[in-house]
Amino acid sequence: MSLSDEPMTCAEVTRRIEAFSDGDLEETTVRGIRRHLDVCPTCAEQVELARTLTAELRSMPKLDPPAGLLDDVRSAAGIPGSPRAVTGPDRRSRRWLAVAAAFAIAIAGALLVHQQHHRTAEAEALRAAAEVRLALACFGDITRRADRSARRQVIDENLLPVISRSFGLTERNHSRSAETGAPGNVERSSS
Amino acid sequence: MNTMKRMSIAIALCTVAAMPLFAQTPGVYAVEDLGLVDPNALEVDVNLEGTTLQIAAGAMQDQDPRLVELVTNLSRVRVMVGKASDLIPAEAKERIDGAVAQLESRGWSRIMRIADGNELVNIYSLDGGDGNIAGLTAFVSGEGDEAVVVNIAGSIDPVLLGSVLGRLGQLDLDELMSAVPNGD
Repeated sequence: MSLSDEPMTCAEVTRRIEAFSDGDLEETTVRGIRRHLDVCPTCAEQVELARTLTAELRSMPKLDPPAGLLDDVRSAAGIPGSPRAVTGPDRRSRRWLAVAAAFAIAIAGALLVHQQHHRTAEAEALRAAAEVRLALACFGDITRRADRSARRQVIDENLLPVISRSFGLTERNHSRSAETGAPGNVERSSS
Repeated sequence: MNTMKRMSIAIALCTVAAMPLFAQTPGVYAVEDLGLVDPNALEVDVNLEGTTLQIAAGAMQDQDPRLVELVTNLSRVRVMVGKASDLIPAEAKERIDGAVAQLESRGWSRIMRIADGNELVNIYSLDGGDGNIAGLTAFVSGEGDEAVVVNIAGSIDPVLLGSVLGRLGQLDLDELMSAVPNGD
């Protein structure tokens, strides 16, 4: 099944963010990613960030080859008559610029990956927290339903006097319990 | 998400690394193996264990502190709610009776057993020996109806549990269900 046939997951989109931003993907994959981005603001934000980063890098000045590069190559190749390359501060600064640009790209890439991982972990934590609340509420719902059911049976089957006697309660006590609807506990068993 | 919450999650992750294996927790009971709920028709399917529960507790730092305390001390939460499986009544009864016998032979105590029409509710607890409950297991079954199985394990303070369940009981189950983000 191709990627465009079913919705992509966040992980599948994350793996392709760079290629997507660079326009290096096939049309079917691009369609799959766009469908996911329509419904996932987190990934949409990541793509936007990647596009901004790409645009920033592209707007940086293009690096010309160092002035003495050709002469150095000739010299290394032993081609006679080639003048010694001109070296100086200009060439050195261009080399540093290239190193700095590479470093900036590496840092930006690492930050992007780290940010994505962090958001995924946060989303999983929030999901787990919501699931715990739901699970505990389900359990509470069972106990309340069972409790109501027990109370109803006690009243419907007129079991209160029997239970009260077995607990040594007076007639007056269970009469009051019946009024307040409090005998649910007597149905609970410890056996 | 604020910094405090992030720190709490990080601390929870570090704590988890030093925790014992929860597979040995006595309050764990594999309710899912009873086959009372149709796995293809689940409305609620929660399966959280040690690591994830600690992370969940870390993500709850801005909520009810009693809920956070309760969840911090849990090692497993398993809840399945959905359509009852297509077992014939005799087979369902046999499985429930088998589970009840198994639980009781392992020292679990019955809290409730209510038969109301078609519906049968069983709730069992395992004493942790320190005033706390080590495990809670419940199964609700009814012919052709909804079925529910629950297992909660850990060190559960019964007073704290009652308080938390009371608060959660004021909330709407459907709202809690829709509050769970869809997985990707």
